[in-house]
Amino acid sequence: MKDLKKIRSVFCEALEKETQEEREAYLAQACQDDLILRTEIDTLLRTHSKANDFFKGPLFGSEIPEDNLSEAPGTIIDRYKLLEKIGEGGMAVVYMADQQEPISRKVALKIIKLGMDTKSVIARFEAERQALAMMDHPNIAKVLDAGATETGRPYFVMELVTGVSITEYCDKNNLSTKERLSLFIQVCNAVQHAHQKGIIHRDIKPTNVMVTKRDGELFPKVIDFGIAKATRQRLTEKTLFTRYAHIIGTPAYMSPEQADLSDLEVDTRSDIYSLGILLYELLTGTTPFSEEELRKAGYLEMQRMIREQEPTKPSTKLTTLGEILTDIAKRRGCTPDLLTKSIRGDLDWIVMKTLEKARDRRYDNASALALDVKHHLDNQPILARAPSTLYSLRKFLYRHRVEALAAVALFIMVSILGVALSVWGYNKSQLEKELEMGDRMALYRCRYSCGAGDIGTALLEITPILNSKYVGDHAHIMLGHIQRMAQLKINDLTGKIEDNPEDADNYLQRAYYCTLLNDNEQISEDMDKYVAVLNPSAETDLRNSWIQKFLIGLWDSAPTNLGPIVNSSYWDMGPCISPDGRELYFHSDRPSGLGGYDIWVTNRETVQDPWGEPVHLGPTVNSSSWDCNTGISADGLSLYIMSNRPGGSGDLDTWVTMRASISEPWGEPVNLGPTINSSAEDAGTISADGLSLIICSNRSGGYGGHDIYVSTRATTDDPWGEPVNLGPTVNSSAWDWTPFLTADGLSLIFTSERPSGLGRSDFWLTTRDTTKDLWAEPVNLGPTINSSAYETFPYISADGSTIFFHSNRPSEFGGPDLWQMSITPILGSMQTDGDAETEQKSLESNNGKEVVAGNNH
Amino acid sequence: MSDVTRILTAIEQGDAQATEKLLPLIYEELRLLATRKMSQEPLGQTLQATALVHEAYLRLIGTEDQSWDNRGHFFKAAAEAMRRILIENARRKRTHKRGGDMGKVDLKVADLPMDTYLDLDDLIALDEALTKLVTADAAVADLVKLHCFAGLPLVTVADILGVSTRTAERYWAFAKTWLFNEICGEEEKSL
Repeated sequence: MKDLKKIRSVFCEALEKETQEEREAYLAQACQDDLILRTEIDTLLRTHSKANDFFKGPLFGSEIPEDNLSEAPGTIIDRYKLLEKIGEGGMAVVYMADQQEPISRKVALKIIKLGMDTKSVIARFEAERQALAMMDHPNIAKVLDAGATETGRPYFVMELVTGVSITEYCDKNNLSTKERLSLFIQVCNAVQHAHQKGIIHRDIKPTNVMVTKRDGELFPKVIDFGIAKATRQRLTEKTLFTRYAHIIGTPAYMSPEQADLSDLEVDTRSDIYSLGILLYELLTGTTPFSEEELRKAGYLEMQRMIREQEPTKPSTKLTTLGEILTDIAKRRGCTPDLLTKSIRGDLDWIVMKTLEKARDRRYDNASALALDVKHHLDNQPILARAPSTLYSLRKFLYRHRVEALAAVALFIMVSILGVALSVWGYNKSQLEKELEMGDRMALYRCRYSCGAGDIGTALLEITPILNSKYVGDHAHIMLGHIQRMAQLKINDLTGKIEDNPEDADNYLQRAYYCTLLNDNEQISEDMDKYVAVLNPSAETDLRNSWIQKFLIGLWDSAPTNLGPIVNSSYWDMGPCISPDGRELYFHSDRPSGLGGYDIWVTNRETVQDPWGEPVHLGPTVNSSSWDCNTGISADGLSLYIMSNRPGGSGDLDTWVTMRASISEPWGEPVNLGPTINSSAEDAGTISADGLSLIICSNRSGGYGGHDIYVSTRATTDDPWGEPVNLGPTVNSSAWDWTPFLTADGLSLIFTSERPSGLGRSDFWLTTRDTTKDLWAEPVNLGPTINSSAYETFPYISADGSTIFFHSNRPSEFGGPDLWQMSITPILGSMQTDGDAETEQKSLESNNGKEVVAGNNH
Repeated sequence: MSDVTRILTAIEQGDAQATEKLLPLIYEELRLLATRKMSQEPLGQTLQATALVHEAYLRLIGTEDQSWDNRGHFFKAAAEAMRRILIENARRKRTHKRGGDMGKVDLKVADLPMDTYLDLDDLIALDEALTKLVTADAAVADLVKLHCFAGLPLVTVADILGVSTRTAERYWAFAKTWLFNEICGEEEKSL
């Protein structure tokens, strides 16, 4: 390898020169007469802007924000001097600071760590400043000021509160449940005061409730009012993961509506919920969902838990704690039994009412919550037990089951619609960007393929973006370029054919390039020649053979993608159509399956109808291993699959699942046993008469890669015979697999990776005159169905009109998909009637389209 | 204290061998995270590799204060682990679309659709180029890994590598161009 560091340093230096002259002068001096170095640098400089385009965005998701801090004790920020760090969380660091003016005092200064838009944070704080100033409650720590540090991070100045968090204080001092409840009532009253001034805390948690002892009295202080609102950021799906740290700080205290991230939804009742969690923790020492549990769950699951999972009642929770319960009880000056008993009943009800998922079932305000706690302490009846509880709601639902279900269904529908609409609104601009990026990348790949001389792939890549509104013009220019290159190739091959008319591959190749120019006549001629050279004996009786049927039939149509209802963005393979043409089985690794590949089916009412949404065949047929589709019997009652589920004899085995009638479900798959299934991979498909099993297998003794074998039986009741290799005429040293035998048993289509094909994996066809004859030399199915991409899993419908297959060629739906192509009958419809088309047009203009015609004149 | 924190502490105290223990741990964690995430995501979702690295960081180390030195070790290992996962995934995908070695695939690992515009071939080409870069210019290779696979901003990468931000930016400009030429090869030069 050349000295890359040298190249790097010259390149970087050259890149920073501002004018061409300066750069030239520098390079002349730096490279001297080292031509290799100079060429290398020139190439790099030339491709630099392309490289920038290529690496335009982050390659694998977005950047992680940095969060190092430069502040330390001694630093002076505006009129505050930092003294010592008194706390640090995931989001902020808190310093004790000295304020000199206008009065000299000690304050707490909280610096927000994570990257934020400081200006808007301060603006939001300023907007609420007046309201904050109106809060005057002994149990609320005042927020005094806000500003930005030199490094541009927002900071808040607060009344300095010495003390420890409420839970820590209670546990350290073994406060009894009663004492804890008295403290809690004070907290509620403080929150109520703030709510009355229009301030919502949004982040109530133990570390924001500090407790000190003053004149022998316990004194809780709620800190951080106004900060959560000022520092809130709208979390979009895109920033969700990178901003995870912002919200992961306190998910255990987050209300369902806050977990939803819809900031508009938050009101005073969100604080009630958080107070409920605080109460829960004061009573039981734990939160309903533990911090660790939520963090480990990942974001979406966390959101789901908070929104949907009913919390366990505090008294029940205590009984699940095991050994630590003794310790928790001790910290409350109590025994485990007595503790559980004291919480069961009223306190359970009070906590559960604050934790209702729907806000209107929680306490209306913090006073009501405080009052209920006080009633409990005074042994008076509590509000939470009144008829509006969950309990009576259940009673009500039970009495009015039908109406309730309908109401719930309606509610769900409305919610789904709402969510869909908002997601749609958000995604539109994002989607635009992604579409444009996708189109640009396709264009880039096309240019790349073109450069590599793979113009077939280039054509496949350009086709889906010819009408792109972003790169359509470029795509058309590229298409012209591709066609010129194809013409050059054709000219070159014509020369070769003149020199050596007996080389079949040249005809195939020329036919391939002709498809790029839509020269169907030449394709037809070349493919006939190709077959004739490879199979001279078959020439005499071509009209009725499958060769002719395909070779002519396939050029008349173009492959079509089965579309986004059937295909997913994952791998959709192994199409197999039922004899009545109404069920299409296939396998796919889309994530909603059981694991690996699973078999799915899509249905249609009649063969004219479109395919429906695919349905998973369920756990009887599918396993967590690979379950792939290979074929269906002529009566539609046996489905052959390959699977590597446990219970087989090796890697992939052939299994069969049966059903009694078409309307019944498929049964448990049965392994075909050791005659068919070797210790290697064996995938078999059934012939129409049910007497041959065509197997592709990589068992030892073949000609290389996978080979095609056939096993026969005398009647469908007999066992299968030993599989026989089809021999070196059919099998190559490369992979030969996914066979399909036509209904008459005279043609075998299979996939092969032999090098003489058009792409990396093509369809080939071998034929025989009778079932007693040997198979002929396989021919390539030609350039309309085969492309430079991978084609595998051919399957022809029972009426012989359509071939279904898998291809990873590019399409507007992306991904490796299922495709179909119609096989036009040999006779008829061969002649396109030019006059008929003109007639059709004039008919249309007689049907009220005169205006268009008039404008054209 | 998690295993990872313990190892990071050991590295900080000069135990060079501890570095080797870090990679497999983080690799395993990332793979688990990714596989589990995919099973929870709705159909058609893709994974953000860098977000996974970040989440692994939060899970393994948490938000407690960690020295930058420590974070550097973590992210270096995580970037390498993520690179391996992405490449294995791409290679597997390429093999499996050919149907090759069908039964030999580790079935416990689901395919991970990654949020990236690189296709399989480009991804594998990128990896091959990066491997060359590791021997030829290790500092630049480290920068690419930390920036692309761990998603750290250049400022942070500069900190970890102990170079100035400007140097990191120059490295990145060079790395992009060099890698692009390696990935796209001769064709780009001649077109």
